[in-house]
Amino acid sequence: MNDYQRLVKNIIGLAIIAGVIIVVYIFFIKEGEKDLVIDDTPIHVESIKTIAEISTISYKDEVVVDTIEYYDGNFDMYNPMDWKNIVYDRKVKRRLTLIFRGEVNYGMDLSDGNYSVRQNEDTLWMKVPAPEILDIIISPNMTEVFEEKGDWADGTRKKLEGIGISKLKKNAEAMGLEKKSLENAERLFDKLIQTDKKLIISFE
Amino acid sequence: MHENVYEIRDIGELSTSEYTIGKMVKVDDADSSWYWIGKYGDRKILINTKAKVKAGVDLSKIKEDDITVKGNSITIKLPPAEITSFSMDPKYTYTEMESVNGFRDKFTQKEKNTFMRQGEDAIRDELKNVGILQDAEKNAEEFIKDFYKQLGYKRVIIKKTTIL
Repeated sequence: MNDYQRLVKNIIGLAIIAGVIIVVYIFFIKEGEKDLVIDDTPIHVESIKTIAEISTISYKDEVVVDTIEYYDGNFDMYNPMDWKNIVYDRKVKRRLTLIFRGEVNYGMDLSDGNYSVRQNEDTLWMKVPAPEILDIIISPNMTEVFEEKGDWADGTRKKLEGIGISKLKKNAEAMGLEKKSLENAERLFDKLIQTDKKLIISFE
Repeated sequence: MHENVYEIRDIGELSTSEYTIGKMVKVDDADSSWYWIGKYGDRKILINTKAKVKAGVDLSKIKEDDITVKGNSITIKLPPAEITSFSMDPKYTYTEMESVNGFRDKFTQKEKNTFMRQGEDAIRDELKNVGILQDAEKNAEEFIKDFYKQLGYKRVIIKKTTIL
């Protein structure tokens, strides 16, 4: 057997061993993804509140929040892990990227009779609170963990979720929806208050 | 399907009841197999979740002929109560207990989100049993009566549409 044949044999042998190792790792060692189902536990009502909120605008948006951590330290060309970090991982040690599809609701909070009506023979004045953000709605079904590399604590995830909520709020405020909310409120009250009198609505 | 992002929608919902609902999300992943090294061991997690749910009536569904005025008396036909908002603020969701042993991997954030999604679905499914819609309907009636009385009507008649 000449050297060339021996080399080919060795390469084939190493490839087979590597293949077996990969198969064993994938099928017997690596934890595969499976659909876990939560146990059936009861829900409990923790509080009940009577409110009176009129929502007039709903704004849906999508925001992305990302956090990334790079490998630091000097590159050691004799360390295979350093090569992996640079070539395969592009120096990214950990990364968590979340996508939120949230909803921001504008409207007026009329709870506790927080409005007043005054009228004379030909005019009806109504004073209601100015429109504000009533709800910033996100939920797990509106959240997507788009990228997760490395271990991440709940605290970091919560921090990212907080940033996501702030972004949703900021985007909604940038849209200047208060004016549109006022117009919708006026239209709604106009429909509800069927009167021949002149209706004047003021917001404070 | 996410075609509804970046949407501004005109609404006219009167929310009259707000419930805070809690649910303990429980997962026991004890799938040990002697030959499956990566599966040897248990994983357990308890996540405390909370949802803030508001319910009320959609005033934009009221048509002009749903309101009838006769002198000092007004009759209004209210649409049925519905859930107006459902949110699970991450501030109030936290892992109570997490245990991993053997050769098992820790729960990832993706897995935790999947569990919380299932928790959210379970809360949504059970909402009809907590009486929030009936409560919201009653509160809406009271609010509407008070509203029209402030406008000077002596008699306010509410006609309800049955909650399905």
